[in-house]
Amino acid sequence: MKASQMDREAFGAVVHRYGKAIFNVAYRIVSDDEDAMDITQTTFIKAYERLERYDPSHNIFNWLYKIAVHEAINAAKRNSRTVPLDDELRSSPETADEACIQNETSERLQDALMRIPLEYRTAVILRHFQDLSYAEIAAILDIPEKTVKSRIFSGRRMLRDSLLKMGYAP
Amino acid sequence: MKKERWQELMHRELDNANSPEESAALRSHLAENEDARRQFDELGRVVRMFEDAGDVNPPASMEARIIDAIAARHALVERERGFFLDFLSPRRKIAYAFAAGIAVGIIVFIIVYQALNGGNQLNVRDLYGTLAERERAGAVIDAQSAAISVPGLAGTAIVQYRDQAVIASVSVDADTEVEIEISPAGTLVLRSVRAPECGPYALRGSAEGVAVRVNGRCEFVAVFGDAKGERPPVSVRVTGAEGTLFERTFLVDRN
Repeated sequence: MKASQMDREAFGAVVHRYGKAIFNVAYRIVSDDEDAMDITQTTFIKAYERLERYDPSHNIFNWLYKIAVHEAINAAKRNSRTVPLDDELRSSPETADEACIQNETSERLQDALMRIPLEYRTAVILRHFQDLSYAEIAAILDIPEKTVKSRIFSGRRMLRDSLLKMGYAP
Repeated sequence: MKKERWQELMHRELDNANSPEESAALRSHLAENEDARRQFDELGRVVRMFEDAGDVNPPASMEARIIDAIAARHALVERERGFFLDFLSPRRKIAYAFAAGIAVGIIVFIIVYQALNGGNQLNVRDLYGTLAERERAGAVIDAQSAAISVPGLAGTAIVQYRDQAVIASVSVDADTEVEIEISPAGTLVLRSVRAPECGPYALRGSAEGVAVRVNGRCEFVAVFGDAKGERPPVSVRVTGAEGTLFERTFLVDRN
């Protein structure tokens, strides 16, 4: 089906298929389920409005990711939720949104992710939560592949250090 | 193996980006280097945390909310498109055509009206010429002329006293820039001037008369109204860069 011919019903199928994944990447970047929901909604509305410009020869998932990641990065910058590495331990399981956090590991990891800078966090999330290649991440973030590798490597080290400081020995 | 190298291989291994040879080299290094092995284990556990963390479940209402938002957006776009289509509906097209027709009619009327009543005003040079010729149509009461012949300047000055006007014509062929000034005495009113067959010229009016600055060939005509039946003297003066080149006062033969 050509993008321009994709009707609202067909786009509903796209939402059904990719909604959860888009929500996940947004949530991991901003660490707030309401914000993540808004980002997901904005992503699909923008995608719907830009359907005419979508090139069907490209992966629609990566196209949605690109919109979502940029929305999430902007939201994260607005909210500035990043906690410095040296800060006190932020959250305990009692304050976490039980509806969104499935297990303790997820919660610890999310805490640690929020303590590393946004650009490193985004690269690590795309690599490990979404299992994207360096090239795919580079295309989504509009940065060179070399920079992607550098951010993933550094981000992982920061994440390890962050977990250690929080008392979660990886 | 240098630290930078094995660290890079370590990260690439975690990303499944190493070639078999690179993986083998890394394993060999890890077997020998305890610090490298410890770091690799720590980072490996971090990566496994991602695998164990799993997905976050979005709120159950999210999908419906997105579909509703898209439907609302779709409706808004359709409304805007409908407005645009209505903007170009056949009924409106007729109205636009009617309005355009009225506008064109008004413009045509203005053009025709100007052509019939004031067409001459469209071209100043034509205006001056037409009026001068109109004045020339009256009977000549008296006419006087003088030849202009000085170094660098040749020509003729003619003053005609007619029924309704006094016409002064000065034709010159000047080697340099000169100013031709025509000044009637008394209460004569300047009606029109023209300077046909002249190159670029500068016209100057004054209370005494009118003057034109030219270079080369030029015929300069000034028409004055015959105020109260008087026929006063008319002075013609041609001035160059070094002063007056020609000066003559014409006076009607009162006999």
